[in-house]
Amino acid sequence: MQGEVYSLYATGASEVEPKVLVDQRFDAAAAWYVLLAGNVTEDDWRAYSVWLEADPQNREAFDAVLAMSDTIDREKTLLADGMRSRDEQSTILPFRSQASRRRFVGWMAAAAAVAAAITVGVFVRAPQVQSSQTQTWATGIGEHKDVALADGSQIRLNTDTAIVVTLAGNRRAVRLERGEATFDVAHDTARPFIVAVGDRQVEVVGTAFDILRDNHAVTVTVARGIVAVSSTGDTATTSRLEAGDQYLGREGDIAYRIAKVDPAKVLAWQDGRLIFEDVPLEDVVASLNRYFDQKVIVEESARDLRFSGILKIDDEPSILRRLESFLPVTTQSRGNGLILKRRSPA
Amino acid sequence: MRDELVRFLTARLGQAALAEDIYQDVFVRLNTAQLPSEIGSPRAFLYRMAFNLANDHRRASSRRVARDGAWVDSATHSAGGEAIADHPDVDHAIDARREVQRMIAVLKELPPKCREVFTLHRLQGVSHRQIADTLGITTKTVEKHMTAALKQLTLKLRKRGET
Repeated sequence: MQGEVYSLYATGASEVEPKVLVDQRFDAAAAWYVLLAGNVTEDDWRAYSVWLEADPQNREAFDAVLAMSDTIDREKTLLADGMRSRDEQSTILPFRSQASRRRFVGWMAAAAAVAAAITVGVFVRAPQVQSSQTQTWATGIGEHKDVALADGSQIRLNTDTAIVVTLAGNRRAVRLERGEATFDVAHDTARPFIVAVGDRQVEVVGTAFDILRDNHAVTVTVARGIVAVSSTGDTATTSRLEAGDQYLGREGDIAYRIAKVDPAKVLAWQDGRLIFEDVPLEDVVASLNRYFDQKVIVEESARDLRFSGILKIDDEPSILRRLESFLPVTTQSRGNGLILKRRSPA
Repeated sequence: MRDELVRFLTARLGQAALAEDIYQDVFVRLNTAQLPSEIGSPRAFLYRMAFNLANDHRRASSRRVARDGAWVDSATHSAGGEAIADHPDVDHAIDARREVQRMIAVLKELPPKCREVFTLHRLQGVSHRQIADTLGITTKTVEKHMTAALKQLTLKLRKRGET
């Protein structure tokens, strides 16, 4: 019986290698590749040598991993684009509204009701170290931009956004002049990362979060880690935010509130989507106007409509067409802008 | 050290004669190349150089195989005597495009954490250390995710007949 089993196995191994062995071989090959990419000792090299000698197929598996790794480097840009755009086919996905969140989302959108007027942030402190360098990045309406800072931090700018970055020896300072940006901050306890927005400042050590400055309303959403938000020059008002917390404040008013949100929904703009849950049409349009060249006004007749769904942010005509297909509304041009009005019943 | 390196190169390249050639190369480069000012372990450094040169050699030979294959293809076309316009560049671009689409499909099937780690490191250039700090995991776990992603990509995109 045992002999039979053995011979079956032997046949399998000589003709077609069992799947589990192939899997193990490639697992080891990939593990060696990852390990050897870092700093390794001569003992590691010897162990790798022994693994190669154990079976000529190990060498071939390693070559395959090496070739794949080269392909990844060569196609980095296309891959990164592909990983950002997910599930593009279904552009409007209605979902159940959650009453607890309704008021809050509405409030947030209301804060965005008027197109952003920009004032320069109050918080401008001269860098303390001479070797610091200041750089500015900005996006136009409808643009996204990825900024990689020299310290390894990543900043993604949403539509119509401007930031000024100063990397100094003892701190990293970013001023969000306008718009919205998501920060993925490289860990560096010796150099705090401080984002100034309006008259608030956000301090972090290493985390990911999103800040929106629109019409003097400041919104900070934390995806990972912990950040501290305070009014500029007033550390007594510091509030600590954890993942899933959203801070809402208005410039010129030290009052603020903190709500629980799903960071994935706030960060959906990175995938070119905006997510709404039972939001008044007027507030939806206010959010959309941040992306539009031609601003849209909601006519009185359509103000009582509400919208739940995910809108893909591509071009203005397409977005308005989707709204029209989803709600009983129609668009008309008037002067330089567009008017969204209720469709008369057929 | 010589025997050890030649043995390593033989294991990596599969041919003893080739291993000797690459070993010579290592020492030619040692004399001409700009060496880093600090070398932690000279032996590990020699291994690293041998490894890099061997990898370059493997890359070059796999390119040669691909190019020779392409040449045979177009020769066959012209031997047919027909005026078929060959567009190897276009064909290659379409193949590359298709390969990227398949890679994206594989990446999207990975567990979310694994996908996130891979994207941060390989597509956005974030270091293992930084990823570990930001996600609150150990660098060992980062390596584990990187290994899993690389393995899946390699296995799933393997052409038939390859090991």
